[in-house]
Amino acid sequence: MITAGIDIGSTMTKAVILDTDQNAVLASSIVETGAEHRTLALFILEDTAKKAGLSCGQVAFIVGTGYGRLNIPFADKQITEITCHAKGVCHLFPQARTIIEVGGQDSKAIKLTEEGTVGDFVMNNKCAAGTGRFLQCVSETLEVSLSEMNELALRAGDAMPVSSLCAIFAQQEIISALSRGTPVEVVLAGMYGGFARKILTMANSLRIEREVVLTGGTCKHAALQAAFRRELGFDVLIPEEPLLTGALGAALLAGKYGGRLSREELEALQLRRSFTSVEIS
Amino acid sequence: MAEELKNTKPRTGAVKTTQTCHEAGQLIKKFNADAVRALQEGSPVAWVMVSSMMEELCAAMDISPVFTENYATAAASRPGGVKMLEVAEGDGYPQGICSYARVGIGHAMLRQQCGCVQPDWPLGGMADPTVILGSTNVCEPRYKWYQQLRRYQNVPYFCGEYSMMRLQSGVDPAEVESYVIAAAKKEFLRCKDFLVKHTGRKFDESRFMEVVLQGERTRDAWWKCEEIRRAVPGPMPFEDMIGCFPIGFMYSAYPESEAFFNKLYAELEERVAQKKEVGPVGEKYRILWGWGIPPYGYLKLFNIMEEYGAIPVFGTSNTCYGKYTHDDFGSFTDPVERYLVGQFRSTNHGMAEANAMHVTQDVYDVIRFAKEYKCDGIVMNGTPSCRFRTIGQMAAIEMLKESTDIPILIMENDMADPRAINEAEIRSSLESFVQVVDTAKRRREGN
Amino acid sequence: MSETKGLARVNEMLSTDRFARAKELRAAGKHVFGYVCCFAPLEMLTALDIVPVRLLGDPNEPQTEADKHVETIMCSFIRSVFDIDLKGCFSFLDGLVVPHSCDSVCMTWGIWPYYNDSRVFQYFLNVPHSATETGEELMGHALQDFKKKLEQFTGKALTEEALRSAIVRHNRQRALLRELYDLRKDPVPPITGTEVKQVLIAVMSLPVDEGNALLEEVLAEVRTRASQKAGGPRILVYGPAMDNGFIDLVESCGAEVVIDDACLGTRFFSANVEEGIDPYLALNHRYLRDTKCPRTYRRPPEEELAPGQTYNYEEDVELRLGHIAKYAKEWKADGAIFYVIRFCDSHGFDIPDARDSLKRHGVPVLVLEGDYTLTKEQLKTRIQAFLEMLDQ
Repeated sequence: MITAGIDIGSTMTKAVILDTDQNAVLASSIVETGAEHRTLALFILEDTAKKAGLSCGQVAFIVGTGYGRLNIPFADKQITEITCHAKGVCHLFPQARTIIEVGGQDSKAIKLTEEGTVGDFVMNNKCAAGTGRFLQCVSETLEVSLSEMNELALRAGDAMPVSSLCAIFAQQEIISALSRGTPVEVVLAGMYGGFARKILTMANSLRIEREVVLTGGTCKHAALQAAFRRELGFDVLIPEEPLLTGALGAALLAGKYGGRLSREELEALQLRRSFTSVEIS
Repeated sequence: MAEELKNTKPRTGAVKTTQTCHEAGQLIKKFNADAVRALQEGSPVAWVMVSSMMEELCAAMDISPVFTENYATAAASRPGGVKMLEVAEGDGYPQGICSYARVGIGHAMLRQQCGCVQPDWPLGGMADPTVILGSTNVCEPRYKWYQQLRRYQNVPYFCGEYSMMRLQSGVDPAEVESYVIAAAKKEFLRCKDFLVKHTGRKFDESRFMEVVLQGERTRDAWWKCEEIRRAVPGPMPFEDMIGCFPIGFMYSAYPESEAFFNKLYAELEERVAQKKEVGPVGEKYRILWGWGIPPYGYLKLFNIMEEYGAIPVFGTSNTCYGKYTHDDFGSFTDPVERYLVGQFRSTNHGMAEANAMHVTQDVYDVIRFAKEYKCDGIVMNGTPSCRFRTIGQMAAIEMLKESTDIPILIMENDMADPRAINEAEIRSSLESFVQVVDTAKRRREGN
Repeated sequence: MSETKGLARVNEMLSTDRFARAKELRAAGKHVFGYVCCFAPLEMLTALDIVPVRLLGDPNEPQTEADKHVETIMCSFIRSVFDIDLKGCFSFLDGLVVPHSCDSVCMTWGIWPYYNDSRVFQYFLNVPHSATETGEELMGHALQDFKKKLEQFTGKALTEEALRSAIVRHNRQRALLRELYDLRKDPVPPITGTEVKQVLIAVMSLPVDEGNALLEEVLAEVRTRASQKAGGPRILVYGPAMDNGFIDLVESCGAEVVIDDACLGTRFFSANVEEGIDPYLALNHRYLRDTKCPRTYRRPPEEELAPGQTYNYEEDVELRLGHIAKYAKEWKADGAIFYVIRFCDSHGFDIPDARDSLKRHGVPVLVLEGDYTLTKEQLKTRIQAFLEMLDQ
């Protein structure tokens, strides 16, 4: 069966098309989310289907997930990103027991059961601290690009983590440290350390168990990966494309729910599905 | 924990002025060391809430007290305090609840994980308790915290029901005193029975009377020091008294405490005689720390004030528990009654006046102390994890404006959670506030 | 007086003005007092022909008045009650009874009369914190003081006869509410959690006898109607308040809220006032000892313990929180969702034990924390993920 998973996140939108019989990802896409979710969802599905050499109509079952999951009118089911990330990560890393996902505007920790299902989870989306947005703010304040920040921090290694709970306080702490003459590499390493620590404090309530997998766009920063390793005291696993685990999980779950339907029911679903073609400028 | 000690941040504690005050820390260390030694010798140790009607009882029964609230204030400015907070939060305790309790619970959780306290913990950790004594007096964390300690440590817990010892607005203390004391006395004796049972120590009434009288003497000596601080220039800033008042508040039963305050008084007398000023630029403005627990993770804020010539000449944080009225307790022959009446009347010392003015007792204290200590400005601090010492500050400002026009500043920084302290904001708000105080003072003096 | 009955009446009250009847009575010269929480002895008010109405906040109303006068680091529920009081929502009352429930309520009381002293009778009921001997003694004094002040206010004696009659009628209400809740044990409950919440609010806005009559109508109606939902995971909700639309939100995600441990819920009616004993002792027991709110300290008896021995922790937790797992079992809950209001010390300290107690009994738990005003999208994701977890 050909399935699709669409993950509309606050910053990035991702799609995966899967052939469940071959257990192969046929194509995937990552684009920036903007304000218009509905047209974006169709656009990314069409784009990904094209890459796979298919048309949208050939997709048997579609699952929508992410922050904007309610804005995918043609999705056959909408499932939370927690369940989808768990599914996607478990597929890539069967030995995973704890997932830490750092998104653009939220962060989550998910505990997996031995069967690979969600055992428990915890989320933070109340404030910027511990999310990609915080790093964005620091980058703008210091007028240093995200990749430069990452490079600089990696040079420093170990440093006293920034302690503040609040993103605004943390920024002020960073600025104070710089004005005291602390080298910028040390300050940034401390920032990543504080960042990891804040997320781990949240995750600790789940009783972190190995293997730990990091996902989400923000974890592409090597400095953040290093900070997590330091704070945890052991290595972490990172998918090749950390942004796609949600969409992958959604596509896999599409296979599960689509698989429960008969061929007639699937055909009827495909016929009923309405894609309104809209031009995206 | 070792990596915590690589502290690249500058120190956050306050630099003290008076000489005697440096001995306060030593004395408290000694009391804590006594508890550790007691434990090693097989003698009982009690974890106690302050102002819980049980500190003097422990002293009279030779049970070493450990004050866990006080421990949290020390942990707030030391590496390892944050770790304890994080550990407690990891078990599901929300960040909004009392930070003293989160430190205490984190300590208990770590102790359970490690098997015993570790030397690199703040102050080397707290000595294991034989019993824990909570109280419903003052606020909820004071009985819920100890209830939760038992989740990690199997230890007998007595929770004293004293919620009426500190009255609410509008209640007339004279109307309720007799039945509150009657009930409190029964509770006190139940606590005594509990301690006898679980520590094997005896309770001797005459010994307790000695302790009560010692307590009265210590607190009187403490209050003499508070009252001499009315002098202009003020001889002792609030950050010094923060270091000292635990001795009067928690350890009043010990003769060393009385001796300490007598020594402090002598130093203050001399400072007053010589008109010695506090701070690098002297005393330009007199500030009242009007309300709120100070942020123990950044007591340096008082030195910052002093840089601008604003001297915190007095603070009300603990006046509501510590001050004995000057009533004559001689008519009470029963030491338990004498003790409890003393506690009740000092805690509610301003209720009658406050009720007459239709303000809360806390507001009344601010009004009178601002006058008595000739203050030019009032600083308050709201602590996000403490309802009891924060709610009402904004209202207080409105009530105060009816009787005073001296400027008031409210800050918001937590007492024992250093992550919820905004250092940059403290400096900038104090700097601006001093300018406001200066303008107001000139206006009052007709300049 | 309204002509509609049963659930239609409930609906009418909640969509127009739940206090319409209370205002009518007040205009006709009856005393109407507002109260908060579950500790005010309503029987004593009813006995003096005072109508007690439960005060709640408005989660959709920005707390603009409260913002001027009181800090944010407190329970946003009582802050909302205070806020809408200053906006005149309760101006029809001639009395206010505030018990010493918790620190947030207590500290709000400290400033409340300063901002609104329009009510002739404003009373702080000094409910002690412990369900112990000393607590009982102090509660006895509190009730006697309350009696004295009520008699002064009304100019009437609070007779034992009137009090016993009031106890019977309020117990009747509790029994009717328990009957209503029993209906929710059905595999497909004939009444939703949202509807039950609405019924509770309506009943708490009426004099006890009218509330009882309304409940009887509702029960008759609900017993004979078809089930309301296709079914979904059966959920127990736990926490303070619960009048803010949380139950509605959980049900909108496809679940069925079948039972609760909440202030606007079982805590209000789970235990009767014992009839046949001294009425003040009975009230004392019901309100202090038997209200299972986390603000009350209780412990297993310890007289029989040996020196150095203490009751085991599981026994302690069972006494304080065991009723939650019992509810979950009796109502066959598939999972439990906690909604703890930020800055609530009473519930906050209990979270680990309440959560673990349920988990030990095989009930998965989702712990949520937030303000009285809900951030619906964020909560929906968490609730939905939890329901998906239950469905796995």
